Formats: sequence, C-alpha cells, structure tokens
Amino acid sequence: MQAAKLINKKTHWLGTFYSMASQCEILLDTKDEKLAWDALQSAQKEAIRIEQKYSRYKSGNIIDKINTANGERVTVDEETARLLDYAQQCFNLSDGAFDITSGVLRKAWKFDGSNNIPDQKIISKIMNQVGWEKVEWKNPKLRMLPGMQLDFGGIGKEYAVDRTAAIIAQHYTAHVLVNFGGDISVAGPRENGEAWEIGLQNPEENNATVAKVALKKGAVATSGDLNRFLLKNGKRYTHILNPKTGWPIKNAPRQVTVLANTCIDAGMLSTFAILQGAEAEEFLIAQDVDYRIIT
Amino acid sequence: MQLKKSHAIRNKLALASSALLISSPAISIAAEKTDTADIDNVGISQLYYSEEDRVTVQKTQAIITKEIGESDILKLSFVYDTMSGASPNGRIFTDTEGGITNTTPSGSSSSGSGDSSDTWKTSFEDTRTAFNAEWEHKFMTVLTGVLGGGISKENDYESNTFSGKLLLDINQRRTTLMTGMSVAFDTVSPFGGVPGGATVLACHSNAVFRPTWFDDDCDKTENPIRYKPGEKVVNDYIIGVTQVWNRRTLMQFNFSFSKEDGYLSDPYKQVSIISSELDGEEVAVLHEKRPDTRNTKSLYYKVVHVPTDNTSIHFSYRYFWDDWGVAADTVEGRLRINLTSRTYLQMHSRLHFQGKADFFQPYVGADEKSSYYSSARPNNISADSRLSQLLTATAGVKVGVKINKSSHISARIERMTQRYKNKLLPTMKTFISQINLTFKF
Repeated sequence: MQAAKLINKKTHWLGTFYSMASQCEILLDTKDEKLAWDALQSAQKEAIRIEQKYSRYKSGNIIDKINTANGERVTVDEETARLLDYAQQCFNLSDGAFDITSGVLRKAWKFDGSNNIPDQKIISKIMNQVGWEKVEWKNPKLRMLPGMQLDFGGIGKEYAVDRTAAIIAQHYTAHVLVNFGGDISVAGPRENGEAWEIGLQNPEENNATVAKVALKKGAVATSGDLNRFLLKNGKRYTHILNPKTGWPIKNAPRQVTVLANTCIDAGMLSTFAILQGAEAEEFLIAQDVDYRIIT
Repeated sequence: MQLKKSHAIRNKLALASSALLISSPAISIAAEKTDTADIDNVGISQLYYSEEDRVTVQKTQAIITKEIGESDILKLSFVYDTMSGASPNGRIFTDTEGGITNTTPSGSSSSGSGDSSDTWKTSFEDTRTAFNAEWEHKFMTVLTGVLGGGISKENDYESNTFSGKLLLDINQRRTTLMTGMSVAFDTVSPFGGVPGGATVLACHSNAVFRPTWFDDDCDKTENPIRYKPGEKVVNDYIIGVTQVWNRRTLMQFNFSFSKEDGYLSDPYKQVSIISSELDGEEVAVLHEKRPDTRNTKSLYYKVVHVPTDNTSIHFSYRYFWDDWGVAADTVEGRLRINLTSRTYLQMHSRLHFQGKADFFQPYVGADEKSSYYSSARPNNISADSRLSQLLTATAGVKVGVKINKSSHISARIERMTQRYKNKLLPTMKTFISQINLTFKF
C-alpha cells in the first residue's frame, strides 16, 4: 500500500493515494489538519477495502470465489448481494446491454490499438459463457455455469466513490469532493457555500480542459474508450462490447460524461449511453441529464 | 434496446442505486446483523415478568432458524412459561369479613376468608407449553410465502393456530406488499366447566337488598350450573405495504381486522354487586359475560429512520377499534445507539391509551339508590380492568453485545405502569427483565 499524501493547497486540502488503477484524490475544506488527515486515511481504507474485495485480479476474494466456483452455488455477504441486485436491475433496465458477465469476452478481444480482430468462432464459443440470464441469483446464493465470470469493473469504482464521499461526510466533513480517476462525488459545497469547480479534460488533447462544471452536491462519471480500441481497415473498434453479440458497439462516442446525484448513477447512465452506439446523445437528451460527449 | 424511449431509466437507476447505497454507510450495522442474526441460528431467552403484588411469569424460549435447500427457511420455537401469583378478577376492594371464595385456574379453590382484602384477586399457578413452526418459501425472487402453525397448552387453556402470508416485492424491491390470514381455535376449560354468563357466583350471607333477578340465583349457588369448555374461533386478516422511502428511511403501513366467535368471556372474571344501603358493601358476586362475537380493526404505521451510522430510530403508531366500543391509540418509539462496533444500547418507550368497552362497569348496584343499578340481568357485563379506560406507559433499556462472529448476547429491563380511570382499580406496576443469547450454527 502506497502512503497517502496530504497537501495544503491554501484554499483547501488535497489528499492523494493510488487505488483501483487510478489516481485517487479527495479535496477537503477544513481548518483542521488532523481531521483532513483522518478523512484521507478513511478514504484510502475504504477504496482499498472495495478494491481488495471486488478486484477480479485478487485471489481469495468473493469475486475469485464466484469465478472459480465451477458451477457450484456461492453464498455471498450482504454488500455483495446488494451489488448483485443492482447489477441485475441494470441488466434489466438496459435490456441486457449492461452485463457483468461479459468480462470473459476479454479472452477474445485485446484492445491494444492493434488490428487483431478475433475469429467469430472464438467469440461464439465464449458467448456460451456470457449472459446474466444464465445466472441463478437468489439472494444470498449465486450459481453460474462453469467458465462464467463476474466483473464488477463497471460498477466498483463509482460505488467506491459514493461510499467514500458518504463516509467522509458522515464522520469528518461534508465539504468534500472525492475523485477516483475522474469519477467524482461531491458530498457538499465548499465551506463558504460555493460550488466546487471541476474541469473535464480531453486526454486526446493533452488533457486540455474542455469544459468546466460547478457542483455543490452531486456526482460526475465518465465512460469511454479513449485509449482502448482496435483499428482494422480504418475502422475503430471500441472496447465496449455488446454482451448480446460479443462484438464492439458500433459508432459509439469516445467519451461520455454524465452528471447525476450519485456517482454510480452517473457512471451507469454514461455506460448506457455508450451502449446505444450512434444514438448515445439521443438517449442522454431523453434522460434529461446534464452531459458532455466526445464523438 | 429500448432505453431511449423511456425517460424513466434515470429515475429507475436512481431508485436502484439508492437501494444499493441505502445501508452502505451503515454497513457495519448490516454486517453485524448478518453475523449473528442470520439464518441458521438458535436463540435462547429467559424472561422474568413481575406485576407488583400480582402475577409473576418466567418464560423460557428457544428459537431455531434453519435454511433448507435454496429457497426454504424453517423456524421453530418452543416456549415454556411458569405463571404464578394473583390477578385482579374484577371484584372491588371490600372490607367484608369472610369474603367470597374464588375459583382458580388450576382447579383448586382459594378462599379469601383468610385475608378478606384479597378477594379482588384470584391466585393461580399454571404452566404454559407452546410450540410454533413457520415455513418460509421463496417462489420467485420477488414472491415469498410463509405458512405457520402453533399449539399452546395450559392446564385450562389450549390454542391451535394456523397462518399463511404472502409477500410480494415490487418497484425494484423497494416496495413490499403483504397479505396474510390466520385462524386460531381456542378452548378454555376451567375446573368444573365454564360458568353461565352474568349469573351469580356467590352471595354474601348479609345480602339483604336484592333485585329479584339475582335473588333466584343466590338460592342456586350451592350447586352452580357449569357448562362444557368454552370454545372460540379467531380469524385474523392483514394487508400491508412496506416502502423504502429513501436511503435512510423505511415506512410500513398495515391494516388488519379480526373476527372472534364463541365463548369470549373470561371464566375467572367477576363483578361485585354492591349495596348502597350497606355503605357500598359487596353483597354478591357475578360471573362476567361478554358478547359472543367481536370484530376488531387496526391501522398501523411504522417508520424506521437511520440518521447516522450508529443510530436508528423506530417510531410506530397504532389505532385500534372494535364493535365492543373499545378504541385505543398506541405510540411506541425505540432509539438504538451503537456504542462500539460490538455493543449497542437501545431505549424503548411506549404509551397506550384505551377507551372502555361499552359493557364495562366496575360493579352492579344492588338497590335503586346506587349507581349501576340493574333491575334486570345485564345482557353483557365485565369489570375486567383490561376493558376499562386505561393508560399504559412503558420505559425500558436494552444492551446488546456481540461476543464473537457467531454469538450475541442481549439483556433488557423494562418498567410498565397501567393506570385506570376508574379509581377502584389499583395501578398495576410491572417489571420485566430478559436475557437473550443467539448462536449461529
């Protein structure tokens, strides 16, 4: 575990640490250095707790247990059950387009900027192990077909952001902004009552700030494939795969940023939008949400 | 994919995520709950209930909850009570010498002659053994059914209960609809049989001024008429809705009604007949008589709010009314504070206000000058304090400690006082203590 750093930015505290493959930051308005430090440590603790518990790269955690159950039933704890319920609802709401069992498609697709388009036969074979509808989920027991895998990658970070913001707001101060790799939650305004200013960057243009958002409360999340894609015959294949076909979503925007009350809502809405492909913006307009889109 | 057509996706997501995050900040509480109060556990408790100068009850209870297969849960409970002491029988305090004998639930008789001031109470000793089984089955993720049955036995009382309940989760499981019914078959068999309603149990030797309707009865008290055991059937119906209101608030609303038919009187409850000519002396005693049907209804509202990680507040209100003229309001509150990750403190208070039944009267007047004079045998009559206008106040505290991952111990003490509008009825003061131990297996 890397040490967390706390920096006095004169107008606020900036705490940083690294977790979930992201630079994590918390911005705090308080005069109390001890409180800022305690809040930072509890943020780091929570981020690492969620990472350890839900990372598919850690052996021995609940995801590992589920993914290696080989067709056996696995009893899950209450928190995991809530996440599974949520994932199930997202699956239903998206008509099957958002699916936490689609991670195994990674075996076929390597999004390294190369032109390695997999063979349809391989995809079809893997597709037998994709589909939430094949999962038997009866709280608190989960059973998947052998070879199927769960991946909370599409939920975990946003969930961690919401939880961390709530924990800091409850125990330390509500004047806090939590930012894990661009997924942001604001528990409350600055100490002087003003909004936090958030710059949205475009990584394709040297992280130039392309838009500014002022938030007193709420959340921001971004989905996209800026650095993860395949190119073949001039065609760009996004890393967002359609779990119903096993193929990338066509004509998806490169990046969608959504503002919502919670980070998990914002993240899910931006993911849903991308899953709409060319109709992403139409979807966002229909949802009546505040968004930024890079096509 | 039809996402774009429905504007509601955003709202539905918000609902789903608030269900996800609802108990998240309070996850320590939730985790604690699954550690100890989860299925596959056994709980043992010992309760001591004592009414000052009245009844004492020792209750021993064991509850086993066991998951069977994937979608079934079986819950079994055993109760053993020992009850002793004396409970008010409806008669008034009297200075009469050589009081009138009381019959007792255990069959033996206790004469009040030794201590005439105690004729207003009936002494008894009894034990109760009860067994209950409940089977819960999940038909689908959102539909649960519960079937239950129980039997309870005392020396003079037996009750057999059957119940069924259906629970349906809708609206992303944020709303639960519930409907249920139960039926109970009860038999009361006091020693010798059930007395005739509103008949004279005993007459005092110096009873002089009597209306004719009980004059005849007094002559028969040597060989009182007793009937076969009293039977009643109770049907209960309930509908309810539970709603997750927001991340921290849950509400519940129930409506229930019940229909009771059969022998609804209490064979041990009595009514004094008082003579004003003899300065309010008791001249005879009647058996009480209640109607043979009772229809009750109640509305119940409950809200659970979790303002912070470590506190939760429960508040409920019940309005009850029936066709006996009884109406009651009950307000109850609980405040739970987690002192540490292992211990919690819970404060409890309850206020219950009840109006009297139409046929409640503290005594019968034996002559025209006295109040409650009745020239004819009363159709229904009871002097049972529980049917009078009363106010019950309860305050208590409970402490729980998690011993380790699989066991939990809690203890509570409570003080309850019941005051009656009718000053002939002395205030009841009750002390309750309970210790409870739960293990996961």
